[in-house]
Amino acid sequence: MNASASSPPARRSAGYAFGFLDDRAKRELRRSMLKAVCLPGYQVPYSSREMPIGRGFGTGGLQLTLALVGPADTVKIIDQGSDDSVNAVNLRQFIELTCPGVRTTATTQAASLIQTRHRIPETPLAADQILVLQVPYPDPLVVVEPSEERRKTMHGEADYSRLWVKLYEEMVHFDEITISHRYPTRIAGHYVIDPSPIPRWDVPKLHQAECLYLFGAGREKKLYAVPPHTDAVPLTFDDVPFRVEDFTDPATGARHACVRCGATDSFLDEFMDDTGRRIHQCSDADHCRQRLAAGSHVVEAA
Amino acid sequence: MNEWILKASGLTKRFYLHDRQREIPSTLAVDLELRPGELLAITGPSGAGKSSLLKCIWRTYLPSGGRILLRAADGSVTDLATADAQRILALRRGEMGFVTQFLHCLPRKSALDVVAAPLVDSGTLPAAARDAAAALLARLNVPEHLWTVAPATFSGGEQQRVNLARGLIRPVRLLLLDEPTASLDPLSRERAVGLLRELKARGTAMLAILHDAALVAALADGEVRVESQPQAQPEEAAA
Amino acid sequence: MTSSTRPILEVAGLTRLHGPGCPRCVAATGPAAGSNVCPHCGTVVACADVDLTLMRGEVLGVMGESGSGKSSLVRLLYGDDVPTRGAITFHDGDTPLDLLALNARQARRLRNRAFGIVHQNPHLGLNFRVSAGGNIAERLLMGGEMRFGRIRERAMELLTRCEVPAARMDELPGRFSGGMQQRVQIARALATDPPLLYLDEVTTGLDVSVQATILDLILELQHQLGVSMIAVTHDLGVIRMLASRTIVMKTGRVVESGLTDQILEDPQHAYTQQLVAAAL
Repeated sequence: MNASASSPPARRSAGYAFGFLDDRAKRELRRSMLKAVCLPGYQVPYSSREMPIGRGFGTGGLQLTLALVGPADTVKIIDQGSDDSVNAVNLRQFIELTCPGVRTTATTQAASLIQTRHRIPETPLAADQILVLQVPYPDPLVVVEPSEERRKTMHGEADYSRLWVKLYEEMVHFDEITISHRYPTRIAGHYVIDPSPIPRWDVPKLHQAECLYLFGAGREKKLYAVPPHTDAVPLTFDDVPFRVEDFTDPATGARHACVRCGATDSFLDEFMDDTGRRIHQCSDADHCRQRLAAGSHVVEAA
Repeated sequence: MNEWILKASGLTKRFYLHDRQREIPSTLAVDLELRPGELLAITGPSGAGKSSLLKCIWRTYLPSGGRILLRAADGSVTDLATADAQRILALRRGEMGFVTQFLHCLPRKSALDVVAAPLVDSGTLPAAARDAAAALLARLNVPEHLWTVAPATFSGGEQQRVNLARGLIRPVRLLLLDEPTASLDPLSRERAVGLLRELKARGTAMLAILHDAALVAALADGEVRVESQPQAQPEEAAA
Repeated sequence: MTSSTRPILEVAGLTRLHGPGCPRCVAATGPAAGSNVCPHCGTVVACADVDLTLMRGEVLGVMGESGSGKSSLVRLLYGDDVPTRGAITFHDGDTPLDLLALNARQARRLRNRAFGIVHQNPHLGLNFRVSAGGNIAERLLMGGEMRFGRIRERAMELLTRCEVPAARMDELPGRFSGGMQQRVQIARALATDPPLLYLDEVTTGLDVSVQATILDLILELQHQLGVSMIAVTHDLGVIRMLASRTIVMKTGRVVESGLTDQILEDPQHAYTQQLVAAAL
């Protein structure tokens, strides 16, 4: 998209190009994204721009979003599943400011572009949707190899045996693989990625999806992709099945439900209510809200 | 089968010491012919090169001149003096055996395992090999309580009996023996002689350095006399 | 265990120069010149014109002092270094492979599957941040074994065979004695049942009593598994115990080769005579 030749009828004009980034920056980001799509799971280095938010707050994801967004897009921003957290609100306001005409929404199905930190929405995404994930550390091999040059060779040769050894050691010490977030996942049978700090619950969503997943690490200056209809397999031993989080109440043997909408099949956040009782609530706020609107409600336990 | 199994002609051994730039003569121009079932005694004064002769045949020493022809079971003839290392190793594993004067063995192996090793190496099952080893040790009068002990602590005579047993356990066509009974008591020596006679009867050809005339008379079918060589004078040494 | 007459490794004209190199390097260095350094261009000739053949099931000794080129030779054969000239052919079953024509991935895979190496310094052969069992697991995983249960079993089997108590398999290598660390290295080297094993001064630095037990173990394993080995050492006792054939290296060249007992009792080359005479 060109920087607008005619002044847009925005309420406030920030005076930037559409989408804040200049067109050279956008072109480079788009080329890098295309390369990432062509090499599923490969970490493409890109020149990460200075952004008016601090590193560590989603500059990588933001750059991807800004390079992709056009006036016809509808954008949703979530942080830990919530549209209303400080960071999500901040980012959304920035997009509204720099992308005049772009609609924003909290409804997952209505968004063409979703930027997220730490969660993938419960609702399966469609073929015309893109999910941009914010990534702190893109390289799963960093824990076993400090040299970047050797890591590149290891990725190139798909030599992940030292990562496997780490999983072996976990099994030995804990009888299970205790990795909870950033679970190493093999894409299209070659590259292993760090899927960002999404919980295990969300990892299966990457596999053979309809939508495009893009991962942006601003501080580390890398981006990668899991294209639609691509195999994404979490690393585990042949005789140790991959398990997602278990929300079973040990006291009752039943699965915890969301206190608001009663869902027993979504990823739940755990809180203490005012009485000190442990309660659970859907992490995906929009999912919960839609369920309530559709008439489901929880029957409060007496 | 009266064809020779071993024929040496002009076998000579000299040593050249580089740091002294001096040549040391050893065995001089030996000719011999050995047939299956025959035992030739190597005789001669001490230092004349008797052990060297055996070592040249076994190829621990590289002969300086002459030929040593060995006829293998399959009829092929090899010149041991010039054969390559692989061929020699194959012959040592198959056709030839050597009862050395001294026992070299691994520190932790029991006498039984030391004796059984040549059979195990050539494919015999360990249990059967150990049985054969036990029989041979018994025959050579080694007390049973020593069989499970490592030979490092044995007396000279006991070590020699273990050495002998190890050298005789695997049937070979050519057997080299360097003073096989030197440290043995009379009873053990008698047993050893009995064993050697049996091997002869079975067709093993033997070349042996025997330290006394009585043994030579008892066992040998012929003699290979090795004479002392004149010491080379320093001026005559090869440059 | 009898060795066959088939070769498993053939090396021809193996040469490694460090530096610019010139046409006179090889001729101007070596035992006769008394130096590895070319006087014309300063290139270091680590080894030159090395030929050797290892037969299947055989143990070949490589004897030499420091600067002889024996360690360079092992590095070149194992793939940790690339030669300047020469050819290395490995017979993978019935298939001859030109090791220098493999790409990095093929070489790494072959090495994991077909070679094992035990170093003098256990830090070179083991990952000290990973348990003993984990060190073995790494080679199994690289070889495609993805069943945790099977990996555990095999690691326990190997450690036990190398006389490391299986109960210690989850300990870090730093907690083991020097002799035990060597055993763990051996277990790791044998993890994938490789047909070829390199032993680089594996007992040097250990207590004498421990040396004997390690050598015993190696011999035992050699008999049971029929592994072909190249044992590099400066110790005549080790050569005598392990190797049926030996090559002697000095200043980057092979000066003598033949049957081990012949080399030790009737050395022909001046340097070999010196080495053997000097042995305590």
